[in-house]
Amino acid sequence: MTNTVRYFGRLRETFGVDTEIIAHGASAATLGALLTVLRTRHGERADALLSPRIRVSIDGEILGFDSAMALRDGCEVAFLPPVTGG
Amino acid sequence: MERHIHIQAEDFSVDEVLSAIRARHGQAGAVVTFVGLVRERATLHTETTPIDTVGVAKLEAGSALYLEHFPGVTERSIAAIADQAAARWPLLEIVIVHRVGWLEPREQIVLVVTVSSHRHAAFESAAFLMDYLKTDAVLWKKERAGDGAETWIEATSGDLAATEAWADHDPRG
Repeated sequence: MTNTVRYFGRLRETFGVDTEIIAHGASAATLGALLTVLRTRHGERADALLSPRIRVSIDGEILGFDSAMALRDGCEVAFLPPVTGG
Repeated sequence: MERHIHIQAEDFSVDEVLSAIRARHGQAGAVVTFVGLVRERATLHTETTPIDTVGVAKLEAGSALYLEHFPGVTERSIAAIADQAAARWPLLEIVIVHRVGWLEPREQIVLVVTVSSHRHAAFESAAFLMDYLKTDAVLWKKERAGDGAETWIEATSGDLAATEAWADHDPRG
């Protein structure tokens, strides 16, 4: 299956990319499995995704962070560091 | 209640927004406009004189702010904040314009406009919206110091306390 992965703010700078397409085995149907793939691809930089302060959105819906979260083929997974506006 | 939310790189005109509001609403008795500006970054250091040690703020030429958004998600997060304000106060309209990209000191960064029949609702809801924009809007902010060093910044404990304080607040209409 294939997922689009997006990074924002400081995570975008950590990974040096804002969007990447990750093709991985059918076993990677959860957020935790995707993180394992990203760890292989990016090495220790991927540890920045494991902070409890990082939230995840799937297809634009912000869902907190749960490794057991199910991913569908083709869905967009975005990693969101802490926000501030104004 | 009308809701107008814009995320844009371009600057905005308070006069134009206000003229449009006056054209739209015959029942509007109170309009509060809040404009947030980019502050010139200053470094505080101490200088010792023969008499005293004093704190001196030195402005950093070349400082700037960078705002990043998530198209669609950012707009929805701000719409949700506006809906919370509309549920608490009798408002005719809310306008929020938030700029993104690199912004220099003295530039306008955010516009919040609340329109109501009476002043208390307009004043209080504008303050509420700004507090929530600090903590709940899906935006990321990076500061560039005068020496070029860049730091991602986050909502402060004061920002979070300001948002939490609204939970115990009784709205005045």
